[in-house]
Amino acid sequence: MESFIREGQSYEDTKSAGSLVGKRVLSKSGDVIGRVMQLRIDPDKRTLEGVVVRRKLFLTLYICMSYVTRVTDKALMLGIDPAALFKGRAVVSSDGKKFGTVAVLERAGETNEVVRVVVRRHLYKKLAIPKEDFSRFGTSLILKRTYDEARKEYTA
Amino acid sequence: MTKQEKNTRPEELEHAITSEDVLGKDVIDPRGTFIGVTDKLLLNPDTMEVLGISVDKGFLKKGLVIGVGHIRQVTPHAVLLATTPASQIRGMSVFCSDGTKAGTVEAVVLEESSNQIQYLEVRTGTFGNTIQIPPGAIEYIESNVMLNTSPEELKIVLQQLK
Repeated sequence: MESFIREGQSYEDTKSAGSLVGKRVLSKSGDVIGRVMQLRIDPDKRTLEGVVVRRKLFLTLYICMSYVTRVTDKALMLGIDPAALFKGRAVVSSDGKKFGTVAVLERAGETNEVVRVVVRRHLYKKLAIPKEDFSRFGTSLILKRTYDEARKEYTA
Repeated sequence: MTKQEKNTRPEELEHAITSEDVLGKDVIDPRGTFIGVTDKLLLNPDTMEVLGISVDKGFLKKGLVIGVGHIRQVTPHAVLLATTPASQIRGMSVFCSDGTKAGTVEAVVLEESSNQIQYLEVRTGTFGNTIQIPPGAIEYIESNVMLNTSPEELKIVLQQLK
């Protein structure tokens, strides 16, 4: 194949953008987020800016390339655990009692940086807890406070 | 002098917890995963030392025994573990460093009397073979098992182990 390159990578050092469609997207923790549905390009800069990931039938996420750490023939590997993954997970106090369920994760703009977690305590009650009050975002979100402390602090 | 007077100080008894404080409690790992419920407390019959707990993982699920060294804290609400039991790895997907799915963990083989992994038995595909992945090939384990090798490198590692 004849190439015309003024600057940038050679043909051999690049990958077909089309081949990424349908590939698996893995989060930092190894969760399978979904599959690449679309590639999004900045029409002015002519750069690949992000990917649209199909999570479930009608649920999609847009993830910018700065959150992608590796692109291989098999998958897109992210350097983050998208905040959307934590929705619906249990919120547990530091002494192991369930405090509520994650209803919403409020982020700084559209970044993945979580600022506050809105926790559903009961059917009709929600409260917002700052991210700094959590010690870990894992299978559950773990608070730094015990259950009694959290109840006094957040429901007063 | 009785054994109690010899070995137990009153202030120790004040802070002691009973089996009721432990049994029936949720068991939670450091990631916040609910492991099961404590159903037995295991004691050494000669020294009366607490050896660990037995955990009921639910209907038709095989329980597990957790040594006292893996328990971080017993609170009024739960038993908090210091480490994630190796049994939690069973059923996880295994991905190579390029995102290729290597298979699914079918069994976790531990070093004798410890929570250290000797190897993972991984089934490659629904009717595929079972391969044994050594701990050296594992980058980290979170939601799934992430290897530090590509599929080609993994084949070489497995052949070297034969």
